[in-house]
Amino acid sequence: MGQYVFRRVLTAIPTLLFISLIIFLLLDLAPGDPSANLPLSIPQEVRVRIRESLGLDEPVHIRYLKWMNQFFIVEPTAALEKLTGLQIGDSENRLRIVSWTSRGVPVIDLILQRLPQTLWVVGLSYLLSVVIAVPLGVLGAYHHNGLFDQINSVISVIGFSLPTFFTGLLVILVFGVWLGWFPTIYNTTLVINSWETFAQQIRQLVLPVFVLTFFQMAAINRFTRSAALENLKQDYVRTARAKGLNEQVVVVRHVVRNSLIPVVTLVALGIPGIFGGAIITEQIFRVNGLGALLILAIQSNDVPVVQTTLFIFAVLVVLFNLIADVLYGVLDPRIRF
Amino acid sequence: MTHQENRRTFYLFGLLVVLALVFTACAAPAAGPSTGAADAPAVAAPSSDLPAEPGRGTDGTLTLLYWQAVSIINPYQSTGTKDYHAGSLVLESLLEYDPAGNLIPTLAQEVPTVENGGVSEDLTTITYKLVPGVLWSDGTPLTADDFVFTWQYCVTPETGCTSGNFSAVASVEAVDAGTVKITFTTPQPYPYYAFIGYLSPVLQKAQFENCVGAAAATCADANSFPIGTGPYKVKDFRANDVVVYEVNPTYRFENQPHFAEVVMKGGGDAESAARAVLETGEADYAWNLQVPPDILNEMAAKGMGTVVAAFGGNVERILINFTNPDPTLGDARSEWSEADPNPHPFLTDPAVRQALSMAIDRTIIAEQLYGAGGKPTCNIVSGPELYVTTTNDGCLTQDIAGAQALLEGAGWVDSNGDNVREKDGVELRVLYQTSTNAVRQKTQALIQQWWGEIGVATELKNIDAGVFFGPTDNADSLAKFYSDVQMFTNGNDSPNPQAYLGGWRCLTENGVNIANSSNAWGGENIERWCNTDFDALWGELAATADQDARIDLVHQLNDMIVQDYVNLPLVFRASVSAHANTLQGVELGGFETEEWNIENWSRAR
Repeated sequence: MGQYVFRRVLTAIPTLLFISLIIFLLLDLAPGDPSANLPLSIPQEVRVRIRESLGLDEPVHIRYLKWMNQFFIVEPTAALEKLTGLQIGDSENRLRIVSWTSRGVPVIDLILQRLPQTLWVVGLSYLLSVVIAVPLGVLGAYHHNGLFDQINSVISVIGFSLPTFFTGLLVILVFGVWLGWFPTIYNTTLVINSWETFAQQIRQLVLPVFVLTFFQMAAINRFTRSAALENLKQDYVRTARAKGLNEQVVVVRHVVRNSLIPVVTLVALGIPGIFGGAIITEQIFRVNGLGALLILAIQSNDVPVVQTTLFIFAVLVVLFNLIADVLYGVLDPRIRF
Repeated sequence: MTHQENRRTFYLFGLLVVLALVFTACAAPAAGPSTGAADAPAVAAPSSDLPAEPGRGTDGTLTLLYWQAVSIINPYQSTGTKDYHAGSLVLESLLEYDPAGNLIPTLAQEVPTVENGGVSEDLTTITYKLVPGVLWSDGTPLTADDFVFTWQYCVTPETGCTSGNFSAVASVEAVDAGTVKITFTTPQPYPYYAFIGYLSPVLQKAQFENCVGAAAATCADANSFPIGTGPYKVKDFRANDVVVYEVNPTYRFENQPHFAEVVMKGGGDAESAARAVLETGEADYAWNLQVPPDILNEMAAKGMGTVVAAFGGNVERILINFTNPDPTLGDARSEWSEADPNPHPFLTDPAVRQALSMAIDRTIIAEQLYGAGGKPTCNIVSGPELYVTTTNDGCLTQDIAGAQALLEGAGWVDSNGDNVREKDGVELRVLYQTSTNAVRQKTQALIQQWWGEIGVATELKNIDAGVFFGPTDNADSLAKFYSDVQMFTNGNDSPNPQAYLGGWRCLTENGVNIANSSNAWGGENIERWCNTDFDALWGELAATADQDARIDLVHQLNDMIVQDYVNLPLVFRASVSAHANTLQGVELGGFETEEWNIENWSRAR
């Protein structure tokens, strides 16, 4: 197992380098320019000056190597420094990866600033959808084609097929505009220091979390249901029943555990997506998490932010792929590497 | 299904219902189902708690919604209007513009003129006396050195300064701590650019001293939390998300500003920002509401807020290409030089240009597509008011029959029955390009139809804004102008239209002003229209200091462009905003940020 993990980590390195090159080149080749949003009255020489001050006049390979150096050496050193409080080298003049539109703000700081609200909204909804969808899926399979299964299926299909920009607007209209129960603007500066502010936090979470959970739940629900259905027909279930075990034990101990294997993979692979944020839902409710950071950076041609966040997502995807593979072995002792 | 299973189903159903309820009703009982502003996350104190007269910080929190979130609070490093707005609450300049476009003093004691001796007779220097006793928000005094520093900061090339306001400045000197003297490279009949308005505020030397040149890019703290002399200071800033301001304790006007805290929240889209002000009351102010007029009117009808428009100098116009953009010419397409002006096969005929203008119904475009955000216009200088002529207003009435007759008279007839007029084998077929934007595509469709009615076939093209307005090395950039006509908005961002009108010059002291290969398409004259009379008249404007004479010259220059149909002005555009009816004191002008007088804003009493 240890050897397997080691081998996988080794193969991940060239994969990631290749991804980083693709990300860099794609953004470099794409049209767009950080001075494009300036008013037309700004003279051309000022635009040239801005591009030069951002280092855009250097050749591509130099910029790529610089970025790689920043990402793998400069940024980890800065992070280490921050964590330990030690001073490593010339920290004052270290050239970190900084945003173009927010001159001087390190991209990592921007990401850290946005992580809390993304985890609150996207993370919480992911957690909720797993907690709700897995039991529903198993029960749906158990009562195969019964009333519960049918209703559950209908709800899942609705959740699956309604895009979040539609459900988002719908709940804003109903609960925000007509009923006025919940805020439609997410306040990222809210500090939770009392029951009252905690209640406020819950209130502002309700609409975005509902929208996301409704959507994510559907897939996990359907997946669990089909996995459980398959298992319920297996011989070992019949054997368990023949032994005289009661239904609860049969379902929970035997069926659920075995059905979870593919579900765990699905869930693990979905986790990097949490860090990617939920671009549309974040936009609708002004959550301004990681998804909103990425889309705004793309719109304003803030290349360092786009490159770095995309690359971090790539690292997370590779990492969670590995974790999912390892979890397979943990859940199913028959799988050996 | 057995009886037992049935019961279990119901039990599970109950569970599902409970879960759903927990979801939707979680914390609702805590605050109770109430509606409107009182329920919003950040609200002002109820009006009953307000003192009779607004004092400093008495009116609670003001929430401004900027769907384009603020990225940076230093305007000299910014590339977006929203950032200039964010900076204007903190940073101040010497003079600013009131909504009518008149200069009023802010950090200066008065507006220097030749009459009061502030501007030298030869128009090469201007001297400002600072208001005495102004303090930065950290308690240190504002001095003339700060102005000298700000100029040096911006003109150091590596700083990457995004302001062009210092371009004519030779030097800035501190005559004494309270006097700033600016010397220009050439006589400036209109000397009010450096340190005027929100684009050119003064920075604190002590804070930015180590941020000059290449170091500007590492000055996160100074760029995010600038120290200013304005009514507010930055308390919390999250780039591209939210800015929280608190009252500047050293602000020089007693009892101002009235709001204790200002929250500038970003993200989302224009439509939901409008809804938050006009329908849910969660915010007090929403900026730049590019929302279809019918939707905005419907929201405003709820009576919670008011839609307001700030008209500056922006005009949506169609530019005519005077050179031949025929793709078969290869690199020579749309290329102009003094030796070879490469004339357009039919757009150089004034009758054709005039007919194209006459066929357009500007009122329909303005009313249907722009609503509160636009008025039909026939002038390239449509604001400020004092520079606007009425001589061209005839174009406001669409005249299809007249346009047809005009083309007929000029020899453009449809002889082969394909509904497109031609003359000497040249067909009136135009390629009409603009940026990708719903309103622009609708405008294109309307105009395509009207031009069709007068026998001009129009092919439409739209280009991503980042490319169209982007670097000139792209073939689809507006400066390359590889089409017959193109449409976008431009205008004078200073109330003085001199520099803006200078963009139509053919030759300048620096060489060719027409965008072509010799200047890497950096020339301002994108139409490739060359008129030496215009150049001479503009030269006269640039040398005239008398205000009435200047107004007259601006009228003449505007008429030359418009009456030669170099541009077809369509819509005088405004920035549309909305504010809650509980907010007082909003006074919009197009040449300052909308928060220019935020120190006067208060809750309605």
